[in-house]
Amino acid sequence: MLRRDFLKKLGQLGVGAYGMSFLSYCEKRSKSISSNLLSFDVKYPATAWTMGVVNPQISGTFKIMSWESAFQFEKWNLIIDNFFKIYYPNIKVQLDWGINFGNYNTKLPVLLAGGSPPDLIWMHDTRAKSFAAIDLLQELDPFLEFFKPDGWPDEYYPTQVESFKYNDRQYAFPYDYATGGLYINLEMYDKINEELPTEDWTFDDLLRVGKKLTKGREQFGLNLGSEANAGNQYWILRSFGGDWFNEDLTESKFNLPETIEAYQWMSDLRWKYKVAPVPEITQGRPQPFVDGVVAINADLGAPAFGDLLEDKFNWTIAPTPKGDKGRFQFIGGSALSIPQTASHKHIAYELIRYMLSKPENLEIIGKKGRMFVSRMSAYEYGLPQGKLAQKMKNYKKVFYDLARRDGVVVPYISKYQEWDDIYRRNMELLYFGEELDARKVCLKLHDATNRFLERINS
Amino acid sequence: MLKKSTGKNIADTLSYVLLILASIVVILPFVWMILSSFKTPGEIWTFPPVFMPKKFLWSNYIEAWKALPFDRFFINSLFVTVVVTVGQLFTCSLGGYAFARLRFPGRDKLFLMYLATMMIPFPVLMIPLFIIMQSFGWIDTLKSIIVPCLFSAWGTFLMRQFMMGIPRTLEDAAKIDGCSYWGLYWKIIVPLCKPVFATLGIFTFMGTWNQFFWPLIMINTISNKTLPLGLVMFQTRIAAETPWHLIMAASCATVLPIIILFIIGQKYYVKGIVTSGLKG
Amino acid sequence: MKLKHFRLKNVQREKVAGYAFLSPNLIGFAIFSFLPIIASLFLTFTRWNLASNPQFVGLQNFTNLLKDELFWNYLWNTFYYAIGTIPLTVILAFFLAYLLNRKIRGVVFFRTLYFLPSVTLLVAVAIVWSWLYNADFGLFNFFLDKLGITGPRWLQSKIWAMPAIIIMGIWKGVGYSMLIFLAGLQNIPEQYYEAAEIDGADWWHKIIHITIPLISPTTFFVLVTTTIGAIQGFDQFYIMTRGGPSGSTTTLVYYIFQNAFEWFKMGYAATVAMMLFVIVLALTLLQWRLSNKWVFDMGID
Repeated sequence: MLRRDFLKKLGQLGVGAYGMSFLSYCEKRSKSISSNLLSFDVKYPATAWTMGVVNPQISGTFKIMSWESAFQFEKWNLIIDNFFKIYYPNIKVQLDWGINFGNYNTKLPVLLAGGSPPDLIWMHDTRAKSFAAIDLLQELDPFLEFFKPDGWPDEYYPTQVESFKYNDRQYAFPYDYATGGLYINLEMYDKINEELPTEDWTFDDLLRVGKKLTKGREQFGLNLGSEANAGNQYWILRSFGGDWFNEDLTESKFNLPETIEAYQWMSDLRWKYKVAPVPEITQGRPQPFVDGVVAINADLGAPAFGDLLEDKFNWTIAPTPKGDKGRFQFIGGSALSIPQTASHKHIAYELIRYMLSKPENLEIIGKKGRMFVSRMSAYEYGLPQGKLAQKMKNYKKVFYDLARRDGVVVPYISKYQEWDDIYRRNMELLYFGEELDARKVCLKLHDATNRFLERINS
Repeated sequence: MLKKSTGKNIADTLSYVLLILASIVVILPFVWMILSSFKTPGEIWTFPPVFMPKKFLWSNYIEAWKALPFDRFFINSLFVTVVVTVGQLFTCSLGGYAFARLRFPGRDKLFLMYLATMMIPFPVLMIPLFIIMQSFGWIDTLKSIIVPCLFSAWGTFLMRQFMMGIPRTLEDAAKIDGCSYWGLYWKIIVPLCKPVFATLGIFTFMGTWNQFFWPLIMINTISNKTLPLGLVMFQTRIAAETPWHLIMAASCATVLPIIILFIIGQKYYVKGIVTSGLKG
Repeated sequence: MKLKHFRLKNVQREKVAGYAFLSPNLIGFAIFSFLPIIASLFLTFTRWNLASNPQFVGLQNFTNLLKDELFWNYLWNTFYYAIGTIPLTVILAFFLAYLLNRKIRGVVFFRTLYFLPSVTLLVAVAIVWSWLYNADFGLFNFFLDKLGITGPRWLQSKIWAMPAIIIMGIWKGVGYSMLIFLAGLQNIPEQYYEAAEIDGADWWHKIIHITIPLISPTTFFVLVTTTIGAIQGFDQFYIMTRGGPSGSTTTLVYYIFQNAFEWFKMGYAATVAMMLFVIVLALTLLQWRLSNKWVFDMGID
């Protein structure tokens, strides 16, 4: 009897001890984070691309984690190899790429929480503030001050620099500039005898043309995307004069008549005027435009699309329209960042600076990646080449000049993912046509948003 | 006599019809996957869908193979899967025997705890398990995906249920002859359990071969990756840029060993009980 | 006197043997299953955002859970899915296994066929089923149309999305369970059937009085594992509808995943997981208790 009781108590003690030790491990790890102060003692000869703080003969492993895929990561490989060969020859580089975006966002928190972080990570604008707010990312300001990249910050896209700031401190270094425009199926468009859309067109102009281009369920005139994709539709909202939050991000603006008007217009496009494709057509298929189902399609500027489209039909690009309250264009982008608990922070920063400010490297990344890479002057590398240049003659105007003029930064708040779930659950009612009255949806979202903001700001 | 055989014939035909109807539904996605592995990316996504590719592009397989070190992934997957399968067959059958046949204090309570461990969803266990792996220093090694999988509550459960269904008469006879517990296990129970060994073996093999999430978290170096991780390396954020034809080709190649194994394993689905022993 | 001594020793031997046989399993369990579960249990009493130290908050997570509308919605979704898939999967699996157990030609072929859903790439499965469910061109609505019924919008409808995934869930799960039933059926000795035939039993009698009782341990297994699997379902919801439309196909495991990795609310995620665990445990215990009534055990005294 006594023995059994004793064993039971021992078991409970053991369980308790293990649990407490687990929690204290988490706490110990976090203490080591805050005591991780940066030093900038120059002990070794500095070079154009290294600060001289770290021993060039240092040995160890430098870990990089990226969501980019097999063919996308090639552009970084050569640059990374060169950097380490020249400056830190004894370092072994561990490259962990080819984790798709969804899984990347699961793996990263586990590594960071588990105390085994990479030294250099990819960061997306939708999530950067969430990571920064809970201190998972290293502030780059000390580095930027001590070892400024050429042209920082004026020669880098202001909207992108802004996107990766939190509480006025820089937490990631932007590497691209993705903007939105319209793709037009000329074979359908030529038949309606209209001019191509310009940046001075209004939303109503576009709707008018969309109606002409629609033929029942076989051909849809205008696809501007799903209301449920918050960030992608933000430019439409602003064009109508609406917004998500107020300036301080403490109150919801979903009850503004302008906001409601914008969402109603988007919903009407699909369910009243029937020019936008119903979810049955767009769900589960990445490119209804490529399939020839949509005449005018809003999407990101990417020469890669040109490859997909090239042989299918005659097509072109055009700018997105302007609203009553001005013209706003979608922009977004990604950046490179350093985890707070990384082991080789100085090297990581030097690598970022090397990759994204050295002109030769910008050329490699821009050309191979076919994208607008971090410095504004490097935009030409991202322009389409060869045959595509002919098809997308006004690429620079549509995706670069107008974006520079009218691009609007999306207010990704610090707990954006959680709010996005609330947003999506409400807006999907509009998108799937379960609710046709945008006012009802917006007001419900207004209440939910206010409650949410109250909770996180308290 | 005639009545009996026509009765059997009707039953057989009916069985065939039902089975064939069911199999059409069952096989559709698989057929589509195989056919898609020969298409161009454009053909995969057209709507309404086309089943037959215009040309059979065997080059997809070659291109996929060359794009990533699939030979490395294959070896890693094979190693991990074989070790885990053999390991699980061993530990689960031993454990199942203990739960099914042997009496010891706390047996049923312990068994319920085993069942209980299957009920905790994996997301919450990931971080503590990761920290345990880290304290062992096993991050980014194949050990980290092999060792935790050598034990399976599911497998132990399966073995137990199966062994419970074997009549005790054979064992009682052997016990009277002075057989040890190990002897009982090895010489009597195991041979009778061929079907369940085959079943557990196949499921474990398949489960480990296709295991994605845990290896994703643990493995950081490309040369340590397994096949499912390799497949995902083609995916990009812009769905239109993803080379789906290569992914389909690679997946079909991945699935082949499992199907072959399954067909081989069918041989062991033989009727296990020895009839002569029961009469005594 | 001598006999009593001998028997006691035997009992002792059996106890030792029991633990010995179980030991490899038990050690692995203690380290890789048990410890993480204990850690999670402790996390339920904390608030942890993965970055700073876990803060002890007592029972606050539980009180929040009870007030959390999303939790109750998703709990309902999870049950809906479970009730939709479990009975049909078990019955269909048994039925198919029974058919395949007969000596008809092409058994190997059919068995392999039914095994295929479990090995097909989930993405391929999702794509094909999305097409099947397409309101305009899909096969299901095509057939319904022939019968004069306007088919629902399936995955695009709040009401029909879950039934759609239930059907797909049954399709995917049947092959698995069928194989297990098959293994169980193969183990029923031929003599029992022969003896029954001599006594004049027909096929219906044989099923009720021989097959079903003798396969009951296997049935119990299939029932319990299908229950656990259904309640823990995640992949199919993520890939088919991302939990939509409007949260109608979000299950509890999806919610746990969101809390843990997207919203950095690890403590709350652990709490929801514990709730889920308690529910599954309760269901399993229920099945266990009831099993004494219908599971026919050949071996244990």
